[in-house]
Amino acid sequence: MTTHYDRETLIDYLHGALTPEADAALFAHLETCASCNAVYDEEAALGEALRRAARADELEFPSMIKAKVWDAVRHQQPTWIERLRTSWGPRIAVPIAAALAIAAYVGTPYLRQPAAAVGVEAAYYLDVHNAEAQQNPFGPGVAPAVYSSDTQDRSPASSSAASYIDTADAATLVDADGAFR
Amino acid sequence: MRSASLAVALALFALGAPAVRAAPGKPHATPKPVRAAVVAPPPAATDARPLIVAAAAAAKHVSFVGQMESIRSGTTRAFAVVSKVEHRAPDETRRTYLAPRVLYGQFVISRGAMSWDVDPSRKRVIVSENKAAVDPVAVVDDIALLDGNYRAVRTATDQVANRKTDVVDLVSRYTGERTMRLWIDAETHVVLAKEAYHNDGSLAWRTRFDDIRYTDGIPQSIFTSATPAGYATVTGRSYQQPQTNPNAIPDAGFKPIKPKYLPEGFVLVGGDVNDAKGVRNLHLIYSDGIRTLSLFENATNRIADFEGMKPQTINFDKHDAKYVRDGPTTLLAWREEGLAFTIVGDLDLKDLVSIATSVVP
Repeated sequence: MTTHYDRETLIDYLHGALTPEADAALFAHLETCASCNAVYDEEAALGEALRRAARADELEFPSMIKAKVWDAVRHQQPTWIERLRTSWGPRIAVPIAAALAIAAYVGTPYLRQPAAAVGVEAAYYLDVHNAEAQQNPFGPGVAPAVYSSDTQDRSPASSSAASYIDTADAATLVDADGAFR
Repeated sequence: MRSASLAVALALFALGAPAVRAAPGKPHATPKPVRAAVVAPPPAATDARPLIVAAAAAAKHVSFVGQMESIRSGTTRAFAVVSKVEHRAPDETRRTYLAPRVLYGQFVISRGAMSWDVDPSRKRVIVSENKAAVDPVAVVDDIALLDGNYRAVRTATDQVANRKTDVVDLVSRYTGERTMRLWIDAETHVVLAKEAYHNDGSLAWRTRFDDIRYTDGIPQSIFTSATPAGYATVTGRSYQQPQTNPNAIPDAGFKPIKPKYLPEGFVLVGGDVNDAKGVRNLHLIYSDGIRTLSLFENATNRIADFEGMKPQTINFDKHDAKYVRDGPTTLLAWREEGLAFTIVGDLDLKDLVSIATSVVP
């Protein structure tokens, strides 16, 4: 004996109100049950008809109300600040903004110095130095490419640089002001 | 002084020549270790210059397999690396890293100026060239400088890796302090251990063979430079042979600035101009025979990029400078008069700052 879904459940299905499991089961049932499909189609058609009717019944404001609203808007008096902002705003704001931009450009030259650009990698200098030092028969030899935990592997793949950067070193020669002594 | 020292060094270097000439036309032939001992051990007298010369030349004609431990000491930490070293005279070496763990399995094969850095974890091979590393003139220059700046004194005998060694101290002729100690195999003259010290006597770095075996039987195959299947080949940096005439500083497009102060014994031994990211860098190289100091200059007004590092800030002579330490090596960078300067060397920070202060554009 085939079990059918009641109308309420089919309405819930239409509204997406079922649990995922129940939704999936009903969907599978509709694939094979003509009876339930008929009820589903009825409910779906009814819902669409109600929506069409609701759209058709949308009413405009009466023309008198619309006219009164526009009349109130036209006769509203702006304050003097609003008038100034409206009439002079762009003429004042644009030059002020330009002046501020020029002042920032001229007054802070250090912001535009190449120093802000990235220089040559420190690892490169260590590499070149180590390569040169290798020629000394009594030097320390080749430094392996190992990085401490706080430096990570930050150099390019072709770098054999700078093994252990001892970042924990404190500059004991630097006093509280940072000046060398 | 330098020319006199050079003459001494050349004369001493000639003492090692018969061993180097022992196998003409057979660059890979390795004489028995005993044949490498061409210099008679010094008597009770302490002058160890012949030992130094023999040690500098030993690797060219002695093959060996050993395990080496290297320690680089910073201010607050020290780092150790253990590697297996297979050396086939005259110029093939394979160094396989055993520790620390992050390096385990990585190996570097070097043949002459070329090196292949094989990293199994990343499946890549970095191929680099360093012509300076095989410059025989530079080696002689270094020995000459060393002879001028340091007294080589044989102080004792010792055992390293079950081999009898002569212990040689290199003592500064200026300060009287020991800067380096070498343990030289009494028979083969291979340096089995060496230690370098800071000015205050603390250890800067040390290398030491835990064991070593001299053999002619190292198979050629372990020095193959063929890229393993599935590995990417990366072209590493190429280091040119620097101009070794100190009076001929290469033109970098700006007036080079030399330091007015250098620690005693340091002289300009070479210069080079190289490109990094399109920036022409003048590289001035100074040495005292043991320690090397690099001064880099470029006209970009951009201080070195310390990305990934945690540089410290230091002030000197109204300059905001930055520095990092790499074990015993310190890098100090600053800007002045539109130029960017970087000094790198195994010197105390105080020394580097004194040098930097004397670099006045």
